[in-house]
Amino acid sequence: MPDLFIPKETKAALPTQEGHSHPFASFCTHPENVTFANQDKDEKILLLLRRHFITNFFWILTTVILLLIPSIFNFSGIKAQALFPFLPGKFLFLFFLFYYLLVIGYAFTKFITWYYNIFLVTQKRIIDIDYSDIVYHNVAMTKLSLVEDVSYAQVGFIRSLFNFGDLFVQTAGEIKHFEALKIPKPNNAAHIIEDIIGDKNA
Amino acid sequence: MLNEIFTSQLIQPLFLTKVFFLLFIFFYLVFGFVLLKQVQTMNSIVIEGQSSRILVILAIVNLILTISLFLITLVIL
Repeated sequence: MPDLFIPKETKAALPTQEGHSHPFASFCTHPENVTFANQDKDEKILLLLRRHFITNFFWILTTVILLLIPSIFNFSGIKAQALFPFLPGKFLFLFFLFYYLLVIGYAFTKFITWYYNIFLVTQKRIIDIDYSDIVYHNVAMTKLSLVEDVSYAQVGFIRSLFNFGDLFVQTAGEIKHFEALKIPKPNNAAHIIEDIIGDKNA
Repeated sequence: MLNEIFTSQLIQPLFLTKVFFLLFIFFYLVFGFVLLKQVQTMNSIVIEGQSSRILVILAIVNLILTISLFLITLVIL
């Protein structure tokens, strides 16, 4: 009897060669020089995920505008002394220094909020590190053997254009859902996790 | 006595402005310190080579700049 379907040999989603890592990386296979607390000696990180860098567009734009506001006032001929005639020059000078410090603090806070929100996949487990509001962080881990289902969603024009979406991992553990939101190439990430689970089951 | 209170330096507008300014810088100083501690805490959870060290350095620089601004404001104003 002839075969109804002969599957093509597909490439493994996870490349076998060593990858790389840099501060602005959002999707890294085999990231170099990345470790986490309680990592086993034989445990290797296979996938590192963060929000797509384009999601930082608005705070970067806000930072640039805030940095340029004093210069815009200067070029348009509006002097700070004219706006605040009751304040001496040295007050205004120090005020502007403090203003720039606040803007830098804002940008730094936004960057580390993006930087420390990481989703890691090792050959043994999945680690989801959530960091927000400066003082809140949550680390959730689950074994790969408890992963039941992997799915992703990519909704909207902007997400399709820049190829980022949400990854959902359903587990049989205490924490039912692991989410990696706005990650680049969610289809690749889902495929990689499925491959890793498949390899473990095999 | 009341006259002395009203003409004393305590309620001069520029002095009050200086006090409020110093207070705001002090609040930002506390924020900078919290930021540094959080960066160090997160670096103990996940370490990404050079990048983690750079972030700690940036947090320290932010704190130093704030302290410098506080001292400059205290002295100059």
